[in-house]
Amino acid sequence: MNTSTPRPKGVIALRGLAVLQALAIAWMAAALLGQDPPKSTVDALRSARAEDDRSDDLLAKAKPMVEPAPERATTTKVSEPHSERTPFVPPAGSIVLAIVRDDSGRVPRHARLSLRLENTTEILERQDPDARGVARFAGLAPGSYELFANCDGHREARVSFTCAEGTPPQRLELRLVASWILGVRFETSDGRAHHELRKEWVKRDRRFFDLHVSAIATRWEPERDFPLSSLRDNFYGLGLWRNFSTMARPEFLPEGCIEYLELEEREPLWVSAALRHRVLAKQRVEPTQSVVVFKIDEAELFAQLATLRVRIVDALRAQPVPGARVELSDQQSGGSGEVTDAEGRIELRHLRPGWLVLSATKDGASTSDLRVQLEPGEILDLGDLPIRATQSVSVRCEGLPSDAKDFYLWAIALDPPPHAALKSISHRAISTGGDGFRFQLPEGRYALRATGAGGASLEIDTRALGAEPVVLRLAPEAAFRIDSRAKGEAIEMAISDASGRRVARYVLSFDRPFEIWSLPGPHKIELTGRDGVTVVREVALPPEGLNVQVP
Amino acid sequence: MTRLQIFVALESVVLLVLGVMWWSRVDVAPSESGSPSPASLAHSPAAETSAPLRSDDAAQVDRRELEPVTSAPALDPVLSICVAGTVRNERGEAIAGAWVGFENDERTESGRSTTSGAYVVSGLTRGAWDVSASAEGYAPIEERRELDDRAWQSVDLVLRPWIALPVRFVDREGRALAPESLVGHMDELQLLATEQPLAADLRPAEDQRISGLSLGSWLRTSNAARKKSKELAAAGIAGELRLYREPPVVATLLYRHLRIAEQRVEPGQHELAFALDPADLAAKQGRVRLRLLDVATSVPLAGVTIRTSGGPRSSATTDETGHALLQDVHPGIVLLDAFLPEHEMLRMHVRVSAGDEIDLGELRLSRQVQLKGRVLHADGSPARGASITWTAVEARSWPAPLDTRITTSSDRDGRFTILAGRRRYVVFARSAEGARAFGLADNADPSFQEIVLRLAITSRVRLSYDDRASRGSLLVVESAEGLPAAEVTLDGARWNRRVDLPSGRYVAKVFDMADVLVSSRPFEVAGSSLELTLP
Repeated sequence: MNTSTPRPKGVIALRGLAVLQALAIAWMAAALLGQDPPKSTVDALRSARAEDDRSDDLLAKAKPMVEPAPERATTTKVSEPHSERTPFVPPAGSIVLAIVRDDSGRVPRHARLSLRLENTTEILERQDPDARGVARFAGLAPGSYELFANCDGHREARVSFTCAEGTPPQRLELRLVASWILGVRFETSDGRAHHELRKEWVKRDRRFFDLHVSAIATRWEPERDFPLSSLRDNFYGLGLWRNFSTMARPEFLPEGCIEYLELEEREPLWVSAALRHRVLAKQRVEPTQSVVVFKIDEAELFAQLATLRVRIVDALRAQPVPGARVELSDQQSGGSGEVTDAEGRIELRHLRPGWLVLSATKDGASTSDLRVQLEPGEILDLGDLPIRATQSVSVRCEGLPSDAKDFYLWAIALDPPPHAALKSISHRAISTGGDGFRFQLPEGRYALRATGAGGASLEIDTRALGAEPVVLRLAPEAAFRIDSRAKGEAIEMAISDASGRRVARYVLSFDRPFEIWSLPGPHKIELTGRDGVTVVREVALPPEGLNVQVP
Repeated sequence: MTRLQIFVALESVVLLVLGVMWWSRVDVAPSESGSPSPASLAHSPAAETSAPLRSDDAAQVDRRELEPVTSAPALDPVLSICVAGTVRNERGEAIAGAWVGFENDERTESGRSTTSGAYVVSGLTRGAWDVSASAEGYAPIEERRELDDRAWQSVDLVLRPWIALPVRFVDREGRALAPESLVGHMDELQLLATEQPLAADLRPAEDQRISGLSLGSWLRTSNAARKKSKELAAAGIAGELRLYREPPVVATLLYRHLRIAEQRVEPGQHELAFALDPADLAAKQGRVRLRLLDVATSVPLAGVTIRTSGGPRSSATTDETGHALLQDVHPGIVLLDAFLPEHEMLRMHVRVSAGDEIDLGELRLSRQVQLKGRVLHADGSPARGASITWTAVEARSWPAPLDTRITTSSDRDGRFTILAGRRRYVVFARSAEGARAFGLADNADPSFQEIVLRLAITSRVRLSYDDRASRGSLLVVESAEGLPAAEVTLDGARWNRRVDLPSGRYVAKVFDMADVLVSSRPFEVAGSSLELTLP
């Protein structure tokens, strides 16, 4: 019997196929299990499958994520022979790559990204995207995050994401949609733009430098002035008001305008021209409009300006104080002030209406910080305003954490100011290191209030203080978590504690959450709407805080 | 069916299952999904940034999120290759706030480490990158790394702490010098750490930045953060020498480019003290004499205040005859400037020798004449917001700095206007994206209308030179027409080892410390990076 009968060709081919398939199975199984494939297998398959970088990725995938050892660093090269490449081992925490584009797919100029944990207000990180519109966040702890992008001329874009232990790098995309840019032009009846006339005005009186008319957009027709504010201009209403002093002229601005309203939705609106809180003119604006022009003559504008007269006197001797420096400005503007005459008198003209901060000083004596309310076109004579010698008051805040970031300590005069148009406002303390703070206060009675990293309040009389610092014992505070949904309504919100002392006052025109801290206990929240009607809410602030939705 | 056939069939089934598992894990990988390769991305950055994102990007994100923990996502057309890692010290502790930069001939991409030391950098391509990292309290590092073509790669970095040596300035008797006695000099004093003592003074420069030579850095107390500045000043410390390597080193005290004192820093040393006499420093200051005249009428320009730029300024006002004498001028190169209501502004560099008086003679200024220009992109469209600088050609009788510290920008039509004189100017334009152009504006010619500058992508010219042999030399790159295009001080600093130029023919001129031309070599830039070896 011939045992050496040649095998049929089909059997040989089948055996060859069996061997090849076995090799392929071994190679793929090894790759999927994260082991180096047997060299012979690799060699055998090399002819069938070109060298593929993805094998490395697969190898990396199968390895457990470990904290990279510091020794594995500076001197090792990333790129080594193909079979020995260092696998990608992500650093601890999660990685997020965010790509920002505008609605036409381009990289927007001057975009800014902010990252925060969801349901919190603190910004963890801010980044300007690179030239490709990419921002990169590494080392993120597990949690739910919110990333939002802002860019002039565009609505805010937001995206939420979650990082869990070992989440692979995430790629997010934020698309910025163009805002409704409504150019605003203020001009006289003969067509001369206010911004061109301002140079002439400033030559006449440097106080005209602060003479800005703002545009305020609302969904309703304003029937009265807006709420008062100590800021330079009122930024109430919908969208953002960009005046010419805030930035270079952007390219999307309509011709003939250097100021504009940046609005989210195209909808019928009312736009008011306002000098601080005073409404000078208003117009209905249609969604298709790109420019709104207000005709306001110089005479009409200047008629709103007020005059203040006051005589500065020495509180102790009741004598006029010549040469006292009197400063009057909003909370954002500065100035060198003006000096009283030989009789201690001064007249300040061309003052914008609304709230201004008034102070008078001479040789270490001063008034307490005061706010004066000026009506449009008013000539207000405050009569005599006393100044008193100031003294240094040291305060120690017991229980202040060494890492406290947002701690505030104020003193507010309790003695009533000498005129009904005046109101005492708070002095801010200067940190002297650790838990120490210092005030420089005119003699008198004050309420001290601490907040932000423990709260406390205490009444003092500077004339009765000894050499030792005043001690404030901080107690845990609770938060009013305000969820403002004012939608441009300009709702005035005032919160007072059980003693009737003002904790905070805000004019809410924006839609975002924020926190106000106070000591737990009964509080009163007063909300005044655009109709001037005030609603009072009596609430108890529990230690765990209180959610307050406005309106 | 034979056993062999059954075996082969079973193998086929197993292979099919494995195949499904295989492709389900790798189908987000590059190349076959149609994503551009890293190499193609590298050559078309503009297309990348302007191309809208594909609609399937979101789908990719979802798939990646379902992948196992350690998986690496695919190469992304926008993100390109990403590198992530940690920055730590030698003890393995995380360094927060470290800046990590990846630089090649085409661009720099960077990231900053978080509190856990983690950083991520995107937009990289396959090839060699210079990786640098720096953080407060640590010596900066620079390494060359090679990236392959994987979408995600790791680069961990280790920084070593710098050695901070407080420095005091004392009088001859060893008493601390009162800060008031050094007013006017303090900002011009600096410490340089080198391996060997300096053989000569440094090359004079307007901005006497010396970190390219130093084995460390110098922090003036007044430049420290406010709190630290107060602490250092209260302790009588003038500044801090931060060494990036272990001593021994030689610390040289410089007054601008002039050597004042030197001492050896030994291992274990904790502080440095230099004896200084403010009168000696004052004696090294110079004087500048000049006369200003109207070029057309030769009428003296009286009442013009001339100042020196930077630091504590010297100034003088011209008298009725147009003469002015600036005293107490720091030695080295200073920029004189003066604004005149109707004449062109004076803006020129002068070299002041230690303790010497220099007479510039008569400087004739013309009435202000508008110099108009236009900046265009390579495709001919107007380039908005390009930065424009200029320098008068006549002022370049010696290799003076090109930057006269005055700039304007092009408007939305690409137009710009300079209030200039009746002179010839070299005008430079640079876009935010780094494209450049330069050209000659002959404003001396009354028929001159406007200069048109067409921006072009630059190529990197890497400069190869011997640090020691070239110390004190200056490279001036001129166009084939003889217009100055760039200047580089050959001090070995990283940023002084390259120059970015638009395509064209150039001449590399090297001047020695005495501004004598020592070599001149033509070269051509033709759209790709090149290496230029200097003598």
